[in-house]
Amino acid sequence: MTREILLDFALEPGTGKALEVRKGQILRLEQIDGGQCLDFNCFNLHDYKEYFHAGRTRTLHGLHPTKGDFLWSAPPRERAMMFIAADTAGANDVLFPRCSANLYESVYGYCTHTNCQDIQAEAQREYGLTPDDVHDSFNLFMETGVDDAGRPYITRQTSKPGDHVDFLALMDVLAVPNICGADVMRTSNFSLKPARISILQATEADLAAVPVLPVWRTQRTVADFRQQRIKADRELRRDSTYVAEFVNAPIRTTTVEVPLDEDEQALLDQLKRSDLYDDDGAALRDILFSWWEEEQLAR
Amino acid sequence: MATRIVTIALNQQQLELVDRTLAKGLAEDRAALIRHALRRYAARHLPEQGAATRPSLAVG
Repeated sequence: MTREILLDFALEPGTGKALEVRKGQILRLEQIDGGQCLDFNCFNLHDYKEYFHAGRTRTLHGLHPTKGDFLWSAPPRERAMMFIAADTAGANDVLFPRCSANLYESVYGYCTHTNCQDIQAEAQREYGLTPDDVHDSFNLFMETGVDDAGRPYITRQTSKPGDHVDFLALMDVLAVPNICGADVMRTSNFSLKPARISILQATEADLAAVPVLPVWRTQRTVADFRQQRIKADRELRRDSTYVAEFVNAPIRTTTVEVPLDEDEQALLDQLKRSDLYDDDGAALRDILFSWWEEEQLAR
Repeated sequence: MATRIVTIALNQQQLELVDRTLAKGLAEDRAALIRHALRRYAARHLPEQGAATRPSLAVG
């Protein structure tokens, strides 16, 4: 079954565009010339305080989310916002932050330069958002990794014309792609190029391909918040009526005495992390929860 | 058989997890569950150990 094309245009270098993508629609980001990185922001269209979270997504899907993975919103919402229905290049990144004006001034000496922070901010302004609302990006067509010393790196990319990523919206979102402004680094192979943006109506087959996710009580909504009103002024002032209500505070400690036979003592002596703990109780606690992670976590 | 008492400090959240795990029937009480965890963990991480390290659900 053919997908109905709802919108189709070329996103020009130096620009971005805020797009309303409704639940059940697919946003396609496609290479025209190849070799162009795009940054991407995503907000709940009906509550902009719920937005895509690179950290949550990175934790669940790794540094390079691809087909079959989800774009998750930030805690305390932690809902799947979009589903990656297609990814022909396999070069997405959720490790690097967006480039910014300061990067180009501090490293390259530019007074002004195209950069993803400012492009995103200008695109989001169409919906009343401020530069502070730009969040960590989902980076498409961006070849990254981590070297042996643990430092992240960006290298040249190999995406070709027609390569695309399809995001299927699982809620109504404001989706904001932008052409990455980096032309003096390897990200887009040292040039800026347009990209094709399409919104398509998902077919029944597209929708059926999305895995069913469990719904958790801890995927909170505004109704769960003690503070539900969004601040409208910039000054921070203490609420004199505030009374702290932290969960499970105070933390109370109980001791459990564990009799170990000779065999068990020997096991503890071999396993205990003496480099970390100077008492057997702490070492045994580490073993207890390490075991739990290994054998009970997935059950 | 000589025994050594090891005292573990657990907060209420850690105890909740221990007690929920206990409810699965893995052991009779908290101490037994912790010993079970020790043996199971050793079986995974000290494979060269002999029968003494073989995992056993019959702890208590």
